[in-house]
Amino acid sequence: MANNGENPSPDVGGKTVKLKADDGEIFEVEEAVAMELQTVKSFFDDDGVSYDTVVPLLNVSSTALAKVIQYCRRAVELRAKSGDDEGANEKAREEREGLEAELVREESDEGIKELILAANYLNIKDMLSFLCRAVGDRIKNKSVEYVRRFFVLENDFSPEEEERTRNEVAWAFEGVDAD
Amino acid sequence: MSTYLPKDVVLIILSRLPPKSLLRFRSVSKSWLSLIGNPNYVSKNLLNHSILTAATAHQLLLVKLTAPSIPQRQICSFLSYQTLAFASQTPQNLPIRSPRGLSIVGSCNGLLCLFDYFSGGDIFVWNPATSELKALPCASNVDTVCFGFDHKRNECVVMRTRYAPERDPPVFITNRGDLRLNRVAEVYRLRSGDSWRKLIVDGDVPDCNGPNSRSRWAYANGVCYWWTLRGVEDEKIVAFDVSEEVFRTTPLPDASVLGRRSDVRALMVLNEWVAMVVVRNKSKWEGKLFDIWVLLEFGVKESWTRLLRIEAFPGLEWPLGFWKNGELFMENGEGELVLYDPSTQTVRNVDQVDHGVKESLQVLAYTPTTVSFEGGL
Repeated sequence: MANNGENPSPDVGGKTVKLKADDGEIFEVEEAVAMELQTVKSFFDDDGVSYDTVVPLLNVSSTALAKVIQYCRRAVELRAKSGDDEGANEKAREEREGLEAELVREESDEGIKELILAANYLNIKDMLSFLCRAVGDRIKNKSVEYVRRFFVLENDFSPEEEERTRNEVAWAFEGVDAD
Repeated sequence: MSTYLPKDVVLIILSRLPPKSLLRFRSVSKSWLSLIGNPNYVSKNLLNHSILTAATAHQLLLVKLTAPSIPQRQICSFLSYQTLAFASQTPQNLPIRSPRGLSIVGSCNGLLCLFDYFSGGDIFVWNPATSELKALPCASNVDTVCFGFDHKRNECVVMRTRYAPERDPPVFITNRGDLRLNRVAEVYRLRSGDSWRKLIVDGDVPDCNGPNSRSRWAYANGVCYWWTLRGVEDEKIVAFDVSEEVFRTTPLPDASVLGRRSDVRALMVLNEWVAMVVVRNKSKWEGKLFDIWVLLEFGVKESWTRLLRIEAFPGLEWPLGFWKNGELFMENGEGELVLYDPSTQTVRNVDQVDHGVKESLQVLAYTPTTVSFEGGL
């Protein structure tokens, strides 16, 4: 797959960096955006690594990488807008929250988890933080069974143990979303 | 095939969850049970972190006390909320008739609401940063005052309840029950009104009546809380939602859980939850016993959770409010402000504040504003 419309090659004079996803797809990204990914930044911080080197991101799918790049690009733009002006900062903050909401809104549980893994591997602190917050919001009213499926966890309680643990805080099981 | 998230990421997700969710998710697996832990205030586990960590950072701590001078003066000191470093002190003598009667009902948006309950009706709104002081239209027989912020209409609201014998038909007072029939609740909106407006209340207007005269009301997130006693066994906490203008009640834990009815109880808030500290007198050398309870879900009696017991500190007299990370402001036997740290079980003096007349100390979170409220706030 060639570069798609979401990832146009910039024709301004800035430096770009090439990132390679797990399926071999190459994304050419502005340097400022690429440096949002701390993993990429560390890659180039090593002596002798030229900026022409393609950065292999073996643990990130091209779908996830495309979304990460899109998010970071807009995050960099928004950060450039804020400054000393409180009004401008407030507006930038609201736009940023809108950007975050947009990113997670359409995502399935699997999609969000994939993005979390990408943000974790690429070491993008802000992105990981809001993705975790979004997952928290998704699961906070869910049942124990739903959470087990989401986190791929085995129920290792005996039936008696589980019943006892539940009964200790029976009230916390009221008002839970149906699965 | 479902994606598996590594443990450090799971911890970040869980650290954002509210206590009710965490308590339920203890049943997910044995490792989550141990990770989430039990509510006991002192252990560093996810559950205690979610209960004790504040969502908002306050700027200042307001400490009010009555100075033991002649004539007695009400002094307000402002400390940095984060460090407790001294910031300022008000020079102004508050307009009061009886020094011991003045209480700060609440702090919202840089404004303080003062209630002189000995006078039975004087209510003031005060901005210490601009020195503006406004006396609200007076009435007599006011028993409860609360002060909160209406997020929907973006204004501060004062609510009061009072005995209003002008309500018809007139009732000949024979006992305390009759007093309840003639009570009204009224609101005064700082931005959109010049007068008190009577509320239409479903049923009786709840009164403010509890096991002691101190620490009877509390406020968090647009809701005011206070004690009420409907019958001998029917003690509840009332919540008044300032935006919706409705009253709700929540029961206390069963007597078997809570302990003797003769214990006194201080009402306060811990972050967004109603909390109470049960105070039991023991012997003079043992000091008092303090049990800290938090109500994790309003209206649900079983969600009362005991967090901590403080005992064997003979100097401690009364709980005043929570600081950060679960530390508790208290008053000692000399009328001094002290701080109890549950993780080390130690008490230290807050030196930046002088001692006051006993039982006159109050602490409140406060963030100043220089916006004039005559322009509407």
